[in-house]
Amino acid sequence: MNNVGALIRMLRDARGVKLHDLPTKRSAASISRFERGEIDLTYDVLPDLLTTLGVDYHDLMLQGVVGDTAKNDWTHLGDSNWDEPAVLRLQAGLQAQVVAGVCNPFLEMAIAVVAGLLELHQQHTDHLSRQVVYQVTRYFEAIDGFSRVEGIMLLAVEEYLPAKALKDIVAKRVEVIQKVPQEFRQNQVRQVISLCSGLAARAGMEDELTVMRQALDWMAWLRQGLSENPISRYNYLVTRRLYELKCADTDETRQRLVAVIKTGRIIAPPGNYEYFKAYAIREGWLNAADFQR
Amino acid sequence: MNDEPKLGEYFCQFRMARHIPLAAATSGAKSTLLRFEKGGQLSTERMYATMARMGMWVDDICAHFEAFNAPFNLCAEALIDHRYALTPAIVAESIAEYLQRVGDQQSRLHTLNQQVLAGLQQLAQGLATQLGPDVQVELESILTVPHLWLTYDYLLLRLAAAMIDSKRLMRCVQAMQAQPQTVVAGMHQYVISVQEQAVMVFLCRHEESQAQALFAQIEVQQADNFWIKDTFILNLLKALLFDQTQLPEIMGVLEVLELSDMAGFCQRLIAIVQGRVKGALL
Repeated sequence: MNNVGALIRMLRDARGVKLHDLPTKRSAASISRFERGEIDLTYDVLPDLLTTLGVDYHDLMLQGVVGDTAKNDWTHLGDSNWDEPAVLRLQAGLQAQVVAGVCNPFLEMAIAVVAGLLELHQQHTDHLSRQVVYQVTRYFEAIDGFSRVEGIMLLAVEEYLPAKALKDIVAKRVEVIQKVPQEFRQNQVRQVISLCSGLAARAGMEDELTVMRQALDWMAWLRQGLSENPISRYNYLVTRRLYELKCADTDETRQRLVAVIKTGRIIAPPGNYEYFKAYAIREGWLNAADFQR
Repeated sequence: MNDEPKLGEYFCQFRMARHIPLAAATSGAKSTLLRFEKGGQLSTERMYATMARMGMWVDDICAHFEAFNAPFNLCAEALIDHRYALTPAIVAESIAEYLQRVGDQQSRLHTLNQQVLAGLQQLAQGLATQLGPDVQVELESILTVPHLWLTYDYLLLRLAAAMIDSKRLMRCVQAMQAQPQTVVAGMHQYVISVQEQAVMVFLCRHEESQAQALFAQIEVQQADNFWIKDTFILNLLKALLFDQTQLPEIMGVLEVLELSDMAGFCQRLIAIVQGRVKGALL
């Protein structure tokens, strides 16, 4: 399927809908031309056909007939899903968008992030250059909300940003949601919760307990009204128990953290529990004996 | 969310918020983009080129404008998301929102959607209900006619699974499984969700062999393409099917994680499967 019109035609046949029965202000002749790919009415008529044909834009994106063809490459920017060939494609695609001689803050920041992450992975270092950190921080401090792709970029670099700078960025996003929570969808809120989680982790590494506590409070507030989700709850409670342990290292706080980590055996894919247990020991939060009680 | 899709205005706000000059957002004439931002037309091709230069995806447009989201899909996703604490009031509210979004449009799918949603209202009251025979025939006809399955098809089957007879359910699941792998790749979460629900339905009806056969297929798919979100439920189903001595440890996890809605849902599922109560679950 290479265009929206052909997909619409296929669906119309499958759903048993005649051309004249489509609930659109366009004439049957125009729709017919659209289906044949002769004219482009994608954003004009599709909103009227969603229920009649059982289609939405998510499907069009999955079929590759609308949207950014490089979208899949963006998912490989994060540490856990890093794929250098995909990121190199992404870099080339971004550079091709630059209009010579004109400033584009988005592209400049995106190109800097991609180059910084490539350098970090190629040289096996654990920090972004000061220049990239400065560019990212300045960009995100200047915008109130961020798009999906900006969110992906921020999630990919947040572990390399200083906790205090990251806190200012996340705070702006949380404030926007706090003002009009009904305007945001669950997946948008969950993305901000992920950012808060990254902020809490970063603050924990820097022993910035006040920032860590703030991130936890935001996560707790954002979770209100969301349906229950074991993974999301696990991420929150691991961070909360770690905060409690950092505030007071006792047998009780250790065991409370161990209890949450152990739930990974049931709620996460095989291997995740062992991996995270080893990580908690490596980071010095817990020791092997804590897990044997 | 906005009702009136004024795309040009949205593009303008998005661009200005990022301090991107017109000339940097388009490779064509600035005036064309400017006209679009003020309510004119822009070809889809040029629109995507502009979006790429500004860091905007179609997802952002869908998140901003309600009109670009299929009403039934929104309704179904919301209901599935609330399944652990589903009440008749939540179902009624979701149906009302769906009807408001569809407006006065009439179509074959809309009629079917309304019938399925009406059935869910009874399900939310704890009643094991079946859709009428004609509705079930219509649903099977929609899903089994050879076509490319879209999000709608997966969600329709996911919602209706507990309300159609077992043989029909299996035929619909098989139609879903017959989709080309290239299509299924982006729909993996929906495929798992439908199969997981079908296993649950067979378990609640005490049709263990059907449930076990389907669960074996999910395990193979999970090995190839793990869907982390439902790992807990899949582990619970596995314990119910093969080793119920695992149930205390599994339910203990919900206590540690303080997930009371999920605990209530799972306790009810266990009670139905063990024959202590009758019912069905979304």
